[in-house]
Amino acid sequence: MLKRFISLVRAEYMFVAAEIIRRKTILFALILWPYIIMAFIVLLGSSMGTMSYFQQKTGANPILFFITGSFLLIVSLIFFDEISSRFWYDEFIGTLPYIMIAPTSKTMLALAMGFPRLIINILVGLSSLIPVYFILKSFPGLVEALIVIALSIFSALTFSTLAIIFSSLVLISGGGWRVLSIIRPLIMLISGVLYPRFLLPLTIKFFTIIFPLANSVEAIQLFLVQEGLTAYSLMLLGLATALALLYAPVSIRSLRIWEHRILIKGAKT
Amino acid sequence: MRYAVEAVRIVKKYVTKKRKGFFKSETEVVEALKGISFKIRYGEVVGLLGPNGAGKTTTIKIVSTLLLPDSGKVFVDGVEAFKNLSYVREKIGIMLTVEKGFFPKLTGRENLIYFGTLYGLERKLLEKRVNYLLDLLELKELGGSDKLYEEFSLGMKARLAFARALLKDPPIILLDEPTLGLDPVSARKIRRIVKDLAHKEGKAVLYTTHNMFEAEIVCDRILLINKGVIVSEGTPEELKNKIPKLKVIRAVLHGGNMEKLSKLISSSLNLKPEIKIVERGLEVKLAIKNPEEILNDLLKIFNLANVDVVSLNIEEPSLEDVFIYFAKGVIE
Ligand SMILES: Nc1ncnc2c1ncn2[C@@H]1O[C@H](COP(=O)(O)OP(=O)(O)O)[C@@H](O)[C@H]1O
Ligand SMILES: [Mg+2]
Repeated sequence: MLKRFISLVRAEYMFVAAEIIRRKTILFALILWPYIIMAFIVLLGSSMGTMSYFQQKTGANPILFFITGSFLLIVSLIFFDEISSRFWYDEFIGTLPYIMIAPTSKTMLALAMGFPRLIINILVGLSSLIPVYFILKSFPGLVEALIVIALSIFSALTFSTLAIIFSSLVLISGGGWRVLSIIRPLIMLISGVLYPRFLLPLTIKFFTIIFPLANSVEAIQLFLVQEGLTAYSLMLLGLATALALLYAPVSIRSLRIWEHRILIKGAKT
Repeated sequence: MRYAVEAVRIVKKYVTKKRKGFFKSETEVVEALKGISFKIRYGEVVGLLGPNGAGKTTTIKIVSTLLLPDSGKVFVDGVEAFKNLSYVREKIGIMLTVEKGFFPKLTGRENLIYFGTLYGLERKLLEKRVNYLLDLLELKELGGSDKLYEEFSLGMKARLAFARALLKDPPIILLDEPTLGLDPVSARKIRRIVKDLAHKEGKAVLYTTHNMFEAEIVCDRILLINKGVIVSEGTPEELKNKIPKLKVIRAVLHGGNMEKLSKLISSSLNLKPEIKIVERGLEVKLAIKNPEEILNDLLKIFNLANVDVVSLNIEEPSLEDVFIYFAKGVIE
């Protein structure tokens, strides 16, 4: 099973690498992406208040907070983005019927689709987070950056099962980009990446507890503020993991429902 | 006996919604398959021959478990297909179109490796198999192994699609118009391999085409399909014999007027000729039971019409005649 999964990741990696290396625009976007997102977040953030206000309110260095946030945002959304857009693309170029017919669990394949980008984003993280952390905090910053990267990957993984459910919704709705552009900002908002959860009103905060990404994101943000992991943040990470496992059977079902829809409609050739 | 494929009274309707104005929409139902049944044995190439829209692709999709029928059952290798999806999917290789279905930014080899992995082939074995198939279809010679798929010619795309159908070395192969629009060399290559797979390796092949000539040379047995109904079946020979003892007179004439000739023949011989313009003049075709009896009268008519007879043959009906014969039976 694990061997099978690894070979699928390998195949997906070949696909992703070819897309990135052989499509110049994508390669360009990949390198610029964290900076674009950061600019976006800083713009949004500064419309709410000044940098010093932020520091005073949250206790975190705003630059560190935002570059981490942008990285976290990209990494967290990998599974959702990859799965919903890949299967949609497959339908478009006519590879979908050959994928549907493969005697491979589509859930396993969906998970495998996220990993190549996760690996590539670790490299992106090393090149964008480490310099900033190092400049601001020198050597302890290096260790901190590595922990942040590891935690970001962890948070992406805890979101993977729910991401499959969301992707299934996008795929089942058949709405393509239109539905994607509604669900995506919603995920960003609830995740607390754009606006820290500990600043949210209690009622909304309560609602985000069942959202694994929100929990792991808060743990990372607390790590930045308190400069370390507390029992509370470890509990948040544990909660995120438990939720991920809880959503796993639902994610398998939701992809099956999508498969069945295609079986009735007939995969486009 | 265990059949490779057994289809029992398959019905498939497509329901499409058509927008009519802003609020109104109209549902349109197309009955693509009206309860077709057939069997395929191991070691034979069975052709599904019919015009566009006959239901060939729908049939292939249902047999390959890509499309759920409204009613009826499909057995693959003796097992009910839609109740044993993974068993059935292990057994079949499929080719749906000649011109798409691969990743444009991967090479021919990478594409095959990708799908082979998806189909569960172990890496070492897969690499060997891919090499073998690239060789078999002469994709290496054509430079297709290491060229990006988006740079492929149609012939190369078709060869790659055919190679993918063979990746698992499956006992059952389903091919939907695998030579559609291809150059003769590529088409011949694919046809030759299909025949070898069935006759030398005992594979079962379902081969759809709208080309009668092709069906005749590739298939051991032909199912004639039109408007979702299998109107007749048999070996190419048998199908020809199903036309009640008809022979075909084919005459090529020089000079003369098409309409005048048609009128003359139908009034004096009480037969409806099929007349068309060919390179050397006019071709007159007459389907008749005893051609010898009218031959004399026919020549007299040609004389009367003042035309030169370039050639005159009495022939067995071609598959095309058979097809027109049966297709008429369904349409009318
Ligand atoms: N997805 C679909 N939606 C609606 N009608 C369809 C669809 N696919 C096929 N049809 C219709 O079903 C009939 C059979 O189509 P098809 O199986 O593709 O025929 P063939 O492959 O022999 O050309 C045609 O009338 C076609 O228009
Ligand atoms: Mg077709």
